Amino acid sequence: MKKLLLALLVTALAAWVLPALVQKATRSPERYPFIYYSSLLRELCVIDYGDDDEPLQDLAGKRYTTAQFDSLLPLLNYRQLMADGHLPDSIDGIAITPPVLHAASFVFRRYPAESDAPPPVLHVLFESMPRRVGIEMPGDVFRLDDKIEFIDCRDNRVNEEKSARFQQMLERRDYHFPARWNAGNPNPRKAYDEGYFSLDADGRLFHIKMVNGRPYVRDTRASETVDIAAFSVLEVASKRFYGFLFGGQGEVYILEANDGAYHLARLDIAPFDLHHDQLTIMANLLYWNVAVTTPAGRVYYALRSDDLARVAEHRVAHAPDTWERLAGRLFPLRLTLEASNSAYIRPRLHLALAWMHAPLALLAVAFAGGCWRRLLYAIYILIAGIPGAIALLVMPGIFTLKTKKK
Amino acid sequence: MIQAILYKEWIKSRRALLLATALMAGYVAYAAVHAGQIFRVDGAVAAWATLILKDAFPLPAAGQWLPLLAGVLVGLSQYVPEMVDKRLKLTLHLPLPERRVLSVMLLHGVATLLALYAATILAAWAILAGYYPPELLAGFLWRALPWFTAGIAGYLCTAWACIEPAWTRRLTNAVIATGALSAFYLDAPAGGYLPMLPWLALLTAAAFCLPFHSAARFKEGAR
Repeated sequence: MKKLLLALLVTALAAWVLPALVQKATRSPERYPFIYYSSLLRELCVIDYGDDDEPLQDLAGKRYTTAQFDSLLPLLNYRQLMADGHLPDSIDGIAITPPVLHAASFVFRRYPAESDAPPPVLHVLFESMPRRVGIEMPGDVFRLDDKIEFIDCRDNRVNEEKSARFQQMLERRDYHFPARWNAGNPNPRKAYDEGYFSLDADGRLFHIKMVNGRPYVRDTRASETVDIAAFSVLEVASKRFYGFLFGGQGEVYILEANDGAYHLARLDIAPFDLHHDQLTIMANLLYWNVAVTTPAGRVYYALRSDDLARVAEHRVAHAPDTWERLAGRLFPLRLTLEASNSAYIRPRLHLALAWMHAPLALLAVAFAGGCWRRLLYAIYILIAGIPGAIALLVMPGIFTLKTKKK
Repeated sequence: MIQAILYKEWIKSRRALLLATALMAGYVAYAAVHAGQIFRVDGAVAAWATLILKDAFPLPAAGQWLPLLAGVLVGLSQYVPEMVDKRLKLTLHLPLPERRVLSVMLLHGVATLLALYAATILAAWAILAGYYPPELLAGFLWRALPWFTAGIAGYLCTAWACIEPAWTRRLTNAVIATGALSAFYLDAPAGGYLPMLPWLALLTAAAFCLPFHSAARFKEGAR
């Protein structure tokens, strides 16, 4: 029994360490092209910053020089065009200036690991209308679960007065405790703060922020139309929206600010899987360049900035690297503790039909002792592969019923 | 008889336990000074912001190895003397079942280490509770629990390797133990190890059986 336990331990260890080493030796990062929508060519274009002469190529394969690249993608290269004195006055009849272009530009990323990570338990609520330029760290943090409490950093005690103010406001707005989750952007490097979006016990999304030291709580009513799965707060320079709302059916919306009311606008993209897909958005004044990286490949979308309707789409299939080609063949049984789509450490068993280790099983049949032992060794190696063979080498005689005494 | 075995184990391991206690106490004392200095120099707001926004651990990283070091030290102090001149043979010939003798020896080490770890955690908690709220303290504890579990597993693996009579197998055991113990030290955010903790506990429980395998080989006279 002890030998079997030891053999299982060695098998598990080898099934974790060996594939990890082979992966380290053979894995190459996924390299998808950088694709951006040209407002002049009106199509998605591939950009290769490593090519100094012709960095731009359209999807038909036509290549463009650096100067053409700058001119054909004015919304991406406006700083360069400005420096060269070539920035146009308008595009598509819309007057453009560097401040206008800057205000409309933002980059947003959402990784699958964000959906499978320990939730933050303490939050930082900045003053959303600071008197001075820039966001300053407040002297307290808050917890929001069964109730809301602000804890003063200086003496590590609950600020009863401030907590009561926010608690009363939440109750007045019919917020039902406990909170399911709270989403915010606690990075102080931003122009303003939109506070937190909190899903209450009934699945309603509330907007909570601090304005001039006072609580601001509103029911966004987004839950009336969407089954809300997650929210990512993003404070953009234009103040057009509060962040990205992810629906339970894979829909992606922006929650727009509309004269104090909240309005959902859906991105015209295929359903997005929060647990496996990565979302990248590079937005400019006229178009949003959306890249959704799935296990099957990357899909590029160009959406019109005003109504988020799709104007172009391009797919690049995922090309398996050496590791992915080898893994299934070499290791019928593989153990990992970490995963790219999760922040949690937990054992994950990967099974595959692999026959490359069948010769090892035959060797076991040829050289192992008795008939039963040969059969059991062969079965064990067929199931566990190379890690199993290593365990049998390290722990010979695990399938003997009695220990032989010398 | 069991009391006599426990006394023998205490005599063997008391110096190592004293050293381990001194290391732990030193680390806790340093933690107190370190936390005080950070609050004095950077201020409370910056200290909390670093922990909340960057998911940082408030104490020096070297501390993660201390529980394992303590476990290995106690293990060596208990089982190296047993292997000198094969004294383990005498121990196993005491008028008690061999399994019980070895269980008592192992449980002595596990219990003393658990007491040491519990005292360390309580002392660190009591000191840091003056600086940080319970949520952050719980985060520190979730992060540190795998390291303390590694200490117990490390102790049991040390016993496994020490009692093994053959040098080649002893080295193999040490390599296997090192590989298994690395599973306790993966990089994860606070709370990231929570789903893994039951598995680590299971691994540690399984490691309790390993010294019995070595003892059986010792008794067989394996070389």
